[in-house]
Amino acid sequence: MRNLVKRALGLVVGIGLCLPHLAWASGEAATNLVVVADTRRVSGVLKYIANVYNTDPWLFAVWAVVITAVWGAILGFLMDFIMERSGLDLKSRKILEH
Amino acid sequence: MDWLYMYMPIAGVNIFWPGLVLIGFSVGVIGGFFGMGGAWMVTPGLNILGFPMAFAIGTDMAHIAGKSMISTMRHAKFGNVDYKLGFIMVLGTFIGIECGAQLVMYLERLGRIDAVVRYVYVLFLALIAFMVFYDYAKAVKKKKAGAVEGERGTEGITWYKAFHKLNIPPMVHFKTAGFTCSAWLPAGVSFLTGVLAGFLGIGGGLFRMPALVYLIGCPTHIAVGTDLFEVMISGLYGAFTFSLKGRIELVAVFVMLTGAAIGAQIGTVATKYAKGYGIRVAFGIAVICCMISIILKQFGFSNSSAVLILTTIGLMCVYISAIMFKGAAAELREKKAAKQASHPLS
Repeated sequence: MRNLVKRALGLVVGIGLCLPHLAWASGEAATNLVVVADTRRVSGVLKYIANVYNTDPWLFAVWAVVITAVWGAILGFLMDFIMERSGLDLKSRKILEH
Repeated sequence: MDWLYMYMPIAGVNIFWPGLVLIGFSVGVIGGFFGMGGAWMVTPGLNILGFPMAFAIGTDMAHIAGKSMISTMRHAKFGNVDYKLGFIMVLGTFIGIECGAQLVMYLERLGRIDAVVRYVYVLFLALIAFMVFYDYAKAVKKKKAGAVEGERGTEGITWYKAFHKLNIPPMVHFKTAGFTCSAWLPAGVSFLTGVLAGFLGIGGGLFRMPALVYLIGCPTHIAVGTDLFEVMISGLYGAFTFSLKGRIELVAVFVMLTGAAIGAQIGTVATKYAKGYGIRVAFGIAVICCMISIILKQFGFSNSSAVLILTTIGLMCVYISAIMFKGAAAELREKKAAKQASHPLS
């Protein structure tokens, strides 16, 4: 079994090392892809987000993190509030491996 | 049926939004149970729904950050999160993710990103699945032979014991996880898993959860909780870096998170009623199905790939939900019986 593990690891490392070369050999160099958000089909907040995406990448990145974190926290607290009322003990557990 | 489709202004595609909610819910269940973002299912899932691969990766990152926040809040209440271990791993993860993200941009310029990402996915999924089942087989064999090791019981792979012997200062004791090791061990492991996370556009839980168990030596439940804490932070950083590179669709993130909020509760609470090796084996089965689906996609069998991945996600959700609801029902019955025993006349 130990030999099998060694062989599998060797194969994995070998293929891993080959991948960048395969990619390099098979594709021609291209320029950076530029994506522009289509602001014609959206309105309101979505239009604002699409505009920020097109004009200010840093502000867009900050908004992306803040909105994700805030929305995650709101949903987390809301679900916590609901789960607390289920009657389950949600503060302790036993650790059993087998 | 136009109302079932939502326009994504940045990616420029019409997406079947109930599919997004379902992916969010399912990955919430699975991620909360296995201690990871579940992006290994989301990225191919989003790609199948119609997102270009680079957008699927970036959108995935933001979604798993929000979802992991919800799951971590629940795991923290169970005492499954070792914050000291989590914080030590954060730095290595950040540097690793940035290296991985740069590699993605480089491959995108070469025009070969889709194929390379899929190859790397398959390679590591195969490695993890092999490790999980090898560990399980070894543990079962030892148990049958009557071998009992320490307070954790019979274990298969115990590589962490060798790593714990590395005496490179500073040595740190992790109270919640219950072991002492060199701080360089979690830092190094988190860097390597971070590179893979950034490259594949996942939070890194797919690699970090088994790494926490097999290389660092965490009990499975602590590995699940600590990993989700890690995924939350690395996911937020990943969301930032992919947003800066313009490869994220915020509308999809919002829709998916709504489904994930409910799913995450089910998956997280289910860990309370599951044994460590039960979690590990289910994890291994899911990894194998995911690997086969990616291979099918690579060889042009997109429909079969979609069917397999959706079936896997569905069955896993049913299995985990069954554990949770069965366990919860038994606990509530016990509480009711105890209450009636203490107040027989009421």
